[in-house]
Amino acid sequence: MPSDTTESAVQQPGRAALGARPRVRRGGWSPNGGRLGVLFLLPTLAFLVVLVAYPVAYNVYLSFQDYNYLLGTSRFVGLQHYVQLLHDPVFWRSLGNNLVWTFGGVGGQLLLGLAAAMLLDGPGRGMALVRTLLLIPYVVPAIATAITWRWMFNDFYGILSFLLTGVGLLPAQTSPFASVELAMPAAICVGIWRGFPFAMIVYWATLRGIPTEEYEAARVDGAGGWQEFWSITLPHLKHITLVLVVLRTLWMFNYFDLLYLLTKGGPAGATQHLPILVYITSFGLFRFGEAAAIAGLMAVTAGLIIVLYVKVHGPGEL
Amino acid sequence: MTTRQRRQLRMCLLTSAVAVAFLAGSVSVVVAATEITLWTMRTVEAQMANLREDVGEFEKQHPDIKVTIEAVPFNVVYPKLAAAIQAGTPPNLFNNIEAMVAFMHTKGVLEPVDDVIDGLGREQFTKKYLEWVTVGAKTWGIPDWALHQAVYYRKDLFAQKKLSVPKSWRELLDVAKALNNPKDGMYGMGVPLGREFVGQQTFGEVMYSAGAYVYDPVTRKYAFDKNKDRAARALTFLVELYKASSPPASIDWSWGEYRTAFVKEKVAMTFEWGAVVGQASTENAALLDKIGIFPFPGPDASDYPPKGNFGGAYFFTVSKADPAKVEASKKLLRFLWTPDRLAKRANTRPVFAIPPVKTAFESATYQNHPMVKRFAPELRMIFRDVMPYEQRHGLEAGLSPLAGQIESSYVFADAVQNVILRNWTPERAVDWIDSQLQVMRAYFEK
Repeated sequence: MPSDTTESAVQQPGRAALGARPRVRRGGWSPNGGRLGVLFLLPTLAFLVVLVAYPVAYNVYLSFQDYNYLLGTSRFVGLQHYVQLLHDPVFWRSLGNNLVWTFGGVGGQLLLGLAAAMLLDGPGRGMALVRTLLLIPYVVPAIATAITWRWMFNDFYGILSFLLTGVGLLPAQTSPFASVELAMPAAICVGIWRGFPFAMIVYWATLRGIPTEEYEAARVDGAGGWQEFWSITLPHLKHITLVLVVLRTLWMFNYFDLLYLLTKGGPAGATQHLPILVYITSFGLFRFGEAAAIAGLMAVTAGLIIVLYVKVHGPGEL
Repeated sequence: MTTRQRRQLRMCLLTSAVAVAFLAGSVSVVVAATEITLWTMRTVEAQMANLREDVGEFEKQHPDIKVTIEAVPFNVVYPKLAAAIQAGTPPNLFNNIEAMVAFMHTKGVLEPVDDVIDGLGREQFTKKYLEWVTVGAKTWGIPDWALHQAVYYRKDLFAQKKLSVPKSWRELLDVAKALNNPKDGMYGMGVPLGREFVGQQTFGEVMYSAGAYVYDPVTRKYAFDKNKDRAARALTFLVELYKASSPPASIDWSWGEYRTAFVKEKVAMTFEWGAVVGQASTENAALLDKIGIFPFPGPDASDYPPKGNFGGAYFFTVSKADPAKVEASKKLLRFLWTPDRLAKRANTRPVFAIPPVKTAFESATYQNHPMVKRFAPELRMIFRDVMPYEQRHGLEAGLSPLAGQIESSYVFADAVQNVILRNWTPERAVDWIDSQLQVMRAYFEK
């Protein structure tokens, strides 16, 4: 099969003719084409500058300021907020909570998403209906999700609290949200439930793209179900898993509303992660400079996590 | 052009001129209408319907004023208001709580409303609510509803166990223990300690009953650092009460959870603001006759009822704007503050909301409401013994932005939760509260 390379394109007259056009464009800063191109780019550029670049730049600027929102005063303090945060146990505990929330949530979402995708990919009628049903958690508003799960974890009437008590994981007539040890695991369960359909759909689409011939050949060679999964399915999912890990990690790391609605960061700070800390610091204490510094450190941490992923798996995978 | 044609043309022009003049006049009437915005933090449809009805009536009587009402839920109020203030478009009128009054005053967007209050009769208002929103000898909000916190209890269970209303902490603890029977699904007392608002309110109730303040009401100076012993004593008692008689999960309870527990007969007593009566009427009407109310006691029975408890109120504020809008806003306030209208507004959530104006409280409209009639003696007791002694963290000496910061930073609730769940000593928790308050104060007092 000929590969879609420049060489093969040049060998074909039609492709060569088409190939000539980009060369003109590549010199795109010619008086006519260049200006027109820039003009076309302007709306997107304006959008990015106003909605992305400016807020990010302003956040960085704010993090170097002691901005007193109540009094309307501001003064440059350099790295003071960052230094203070690095010595603040509340920041470190919130970061720890954030990492637990993120990795617990992403791990669970990917595992459950893969399991659900394999269920959907299997034989059986009515899978379209099952797929639709499994997508529901993803489209239910966060507030409805939070209220429903809080009710299911209610100390007197919650079905899940009742079941957890039944298997000895929870004392009678209490709720995991009232426990320092159990509040975060319970919240992560809700986060997994809410986010797994995204992974499920992505995995399902990938599974459908795996050539059936590979499985048939493996069966001819005497491979069992587990070997098929390990040697064929998983290698095909490696690339998309890395993409999912990166996307979901960023998503969960910054995910504010669900955890806030479930626990408000309590009890005793057990579920307070960095987004909640940013919210309380800004709209609770009106210390926007410090809040901006926390947000800045969040961005750096998320960036480091992604760099680490890519380093481990190789940049070509992403 | 013939003479006739000329005459027709003249007539046509004249008619057009008259029509244009008429239309212009109409347009000028429309343009001259003063448009004002009214935000409200009311959360129940009955309240909104009542407000819409009153405002509609006002607009009929004042066709030159147009009012746009917008509901602003609690959870978005700070970001939304901050953005509006930043954009120079705060609402002309805002129906809000004390902390919002403090926030808006600090941002310098409020108009004083003394002229409205004096016109209505300042002496008719419960003094405490005016004091909360007064600073610099000016009043920055007009009280609309009074809220109260007290102990709601089961009279029938008290009778069965031959218990009487407790008049001190020790008596309350004994009663709570006597009623506590988790094996049969009944706890002695619901002690709600959820992180957002509720934990602070519950601790505040005990704290004020012990005479501990953030600001000294007399000297008007920061006083929590001098009240730490009393606050620690209050916290010790609160934790003891929780451990002895409250469902363990109440450490995470908000209003919904403890009201449901009381209505579903899982707790024999609870800290409460009165809304449980409305919930009982729809979910367990038989309970209504069994509900009693008593003021939360202090450490010593000889002081009962104590001269301090945690309360709250709803206000209306007027924002700075051009004089026509300010005048239109104040006109609407005068319209809304007739005793009948105040009473009707309170009756949209009977028992929970109480008119903060004596004439409205005594009005037939208020007193003849079936639910008010049912709890008439208790409401009179609250009006007499509870409301005048209400306090709110940070507002003890008048309007202060500290009130909002305390409320939205969860500092009091966190302290209580840390004592219960992370084995902090009450002294350590109180020291921590003090350190947090000092940082907050430094932020706006520097």
